[in-house]
Amino acid sequence: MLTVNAWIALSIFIVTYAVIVSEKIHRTKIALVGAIGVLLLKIMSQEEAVKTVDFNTLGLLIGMMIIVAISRQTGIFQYLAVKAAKMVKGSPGKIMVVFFVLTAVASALLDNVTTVLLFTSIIFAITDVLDINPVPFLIAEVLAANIGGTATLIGDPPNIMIGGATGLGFNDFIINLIVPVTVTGVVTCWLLYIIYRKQMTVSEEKQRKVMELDEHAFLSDRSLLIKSLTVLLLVMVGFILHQALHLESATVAMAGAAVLLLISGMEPEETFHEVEWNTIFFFIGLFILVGGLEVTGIITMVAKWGLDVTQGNVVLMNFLVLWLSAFASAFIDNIPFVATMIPLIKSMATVGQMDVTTLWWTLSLGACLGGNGTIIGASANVVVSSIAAAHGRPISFGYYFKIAFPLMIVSIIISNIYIYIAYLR
Amino acid sequence: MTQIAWVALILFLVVYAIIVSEKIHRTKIALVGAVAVLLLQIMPQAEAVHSIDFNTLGLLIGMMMIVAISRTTGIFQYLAIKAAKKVKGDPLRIMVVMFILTAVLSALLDNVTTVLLLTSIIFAITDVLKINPMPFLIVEILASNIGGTATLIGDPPNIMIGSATGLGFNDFLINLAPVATLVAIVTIAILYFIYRKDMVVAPENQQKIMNMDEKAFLTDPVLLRKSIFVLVATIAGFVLHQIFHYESATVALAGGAVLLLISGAEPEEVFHEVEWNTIFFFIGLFVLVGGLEVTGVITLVAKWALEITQGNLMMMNFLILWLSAFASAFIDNIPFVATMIPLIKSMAELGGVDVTSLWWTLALGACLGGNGTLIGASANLVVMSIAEAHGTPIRFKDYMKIGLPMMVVSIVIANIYIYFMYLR
Repeated sequence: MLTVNAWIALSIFIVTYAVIVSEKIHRTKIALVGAIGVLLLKIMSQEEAVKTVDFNTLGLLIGMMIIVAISRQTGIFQYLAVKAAKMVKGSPGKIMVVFFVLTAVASALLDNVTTVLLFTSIIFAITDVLDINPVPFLIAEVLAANIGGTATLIGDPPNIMIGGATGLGFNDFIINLIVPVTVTGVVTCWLLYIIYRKQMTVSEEKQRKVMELDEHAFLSDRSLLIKSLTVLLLVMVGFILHQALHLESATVAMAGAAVLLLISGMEPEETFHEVEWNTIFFFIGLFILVGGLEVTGIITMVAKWGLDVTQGNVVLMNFLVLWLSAFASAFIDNIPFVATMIPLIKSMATVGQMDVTTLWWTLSLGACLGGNGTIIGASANVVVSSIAAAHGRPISFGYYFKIAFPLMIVSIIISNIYIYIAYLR
Repeated sequence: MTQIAWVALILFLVVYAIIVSEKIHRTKIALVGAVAVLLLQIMPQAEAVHSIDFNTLGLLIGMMMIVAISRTTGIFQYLAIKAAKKVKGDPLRIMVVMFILTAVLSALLDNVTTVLLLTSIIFAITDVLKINPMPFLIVEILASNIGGTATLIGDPPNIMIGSATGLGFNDFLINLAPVATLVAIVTIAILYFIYRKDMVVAPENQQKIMNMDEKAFLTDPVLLRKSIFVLVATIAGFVLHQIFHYESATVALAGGAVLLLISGAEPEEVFHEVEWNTIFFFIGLFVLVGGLEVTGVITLVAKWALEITQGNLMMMNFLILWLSAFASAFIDNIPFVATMIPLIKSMAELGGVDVTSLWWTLALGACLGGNGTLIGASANLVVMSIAEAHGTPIRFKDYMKIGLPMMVVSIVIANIYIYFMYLR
């Protein structure tokens, strides 16, 4: 049933993945070698491989990284961090909750990658000030970004794709998804708080020191600050309006980056050094590896199998789509998975003469929340873990898995109950 | 012309003018221009991505990664000192061997790295010999551009032409290496004649060269072996890439990825050595030129060019050769070639002529033209800035007195070669 090429593509994917999980070799190296393997073994041509790379995601990443790199020089992130720490009187538990909520709301309106890029800079500034372990905050950051993004049409790539393919609008997404997303958000935040409660202590002396810090002292370059904030604001407005303006999000981010590079007088050489090329090339490698599964028909096969075994039974079908997409998106990028599922679900609607609207919400919940399962399940996860590694605080695959995978399962159980009660009873 | 075509053309000309004026960093302005193409909706993002030649970028990034890792082994310095000792420290003959070494390395690696590493070692040699470094620096520049002309991977214009046309490594080698060798021989003969009287040194200084220890530069023999293995494998891959139906970027990136894996280098540091300025300059230009293509400006210019040359292939060749030589002498040859490629393709479609000879003409004009002035190619700029840092700046006029006539000689040779090979 599988062609030779499909077996080869699958083997390369599994071996590469195993090496990434083992963390014996730098993941960027192994992802690149795996991708080159796909090309050298002729799973697909170079031209096809280039097509499987999602340049919108890469452009968005590079653009936002450039903007953040330049804005960081103004001290604005430290300023915000100190301000926030003072507002909650230096209590780390409260900071975590506040950041969870802020991240979730922001990522519902903005792209997840953008959100975590901005917030991660602030988190590192705060944990430096309070001298505490940043890892719990970073994990909260990842989870909140993926959960928040599930709520809206523009929050997460799977939703954008589903919206584009079905004509379901902004309000449809909010109305149908806000309830499970809010419940998941509250439960996840509460569980995280319980897990990390004991690590969240800061000595009174440290708390006093934080209260004594002058946040204004961090703002070093006024004129650059004004330029950065203006560009950042315009980019945010651009993101919110990008569909109305018919501009893709990478265009908006790169426009902001190019303009800020021009008006800031920064050396492009130095600015490009601040871009996390490790992350970019890891993404390129992953896109090509998953692309190999796509062109050889493996993703289609898995999806078809899932739909075949449930023939006709709507309840069963919803549950299977939910869990299948959750597990698939935890391990591979959810974009190619959703891209494969959409035409399959559509064809079921025409062939089986059934109303599949519920399945869209199921697919969205599974694919978006499933991304929380592993450290490479979604773009936001990869970005945060790369930045953490660059700061000398790497989050290992195993550690993240231990915390986040169970939380992902909880979120899918919540979704399952919601779907049953809201649509299938 | 449609309104949107005018917008694309004006944007292109403004960006080009600013690049030539050098008032703003070329990468910044190219990126701003490319973003303007998108914001003005000259074309959608998906089409803009399509107009970027990822084979060129992949090839550049792959080779830059290989060079970034292998340059730390000290092999360049080793070869230079070894060569100087082989000729017994005689300055005139050092000049000749440096020319050959630079030309060969530039043909196989990128010019900038080659001159970057060899220039510093040349200063070490000329300091010991107590001799004016200027002839050697000029040799560096001329040799790197001439050597780079010979292969697909030698110089950015060739990389772009190869990617756009599907002409392979061996096609370049067969069509360009002979003429590049001829130009090299003539150039070095003339340089030898010009500088033969300036090259007198005390015998004890010559002896000091013989006492230099080239092995001291080889810091990491294990890494050296790995680097040489990957380099040889990559070059073998280039020679065979058409037979196995691999694109050149696949070969270069395979070499880069494998060396990254087996060298144990930090990917972070290796990626820092990639010249992102150049890469993003390319991206910006591809999008800007893409804007001219989709709006039909390129087709229009191609029609006009066909009219004035009346479809005469010989006139087209000579025009492109001299135009690209003088253009590359004074402006960056990357934007020039990026614009010429779609233009030549469009002429082929409209005129129904076989334009293969035009590709070799463009390569020869654009690569060799870079020798004309001190700002003609990136390698020239690198040598200039190292010389400045060393306290012996090269003056624009001084360079041009030698470089421009040499460039004209090389273009005359190229012209004769093209005539006899392709046009008779």
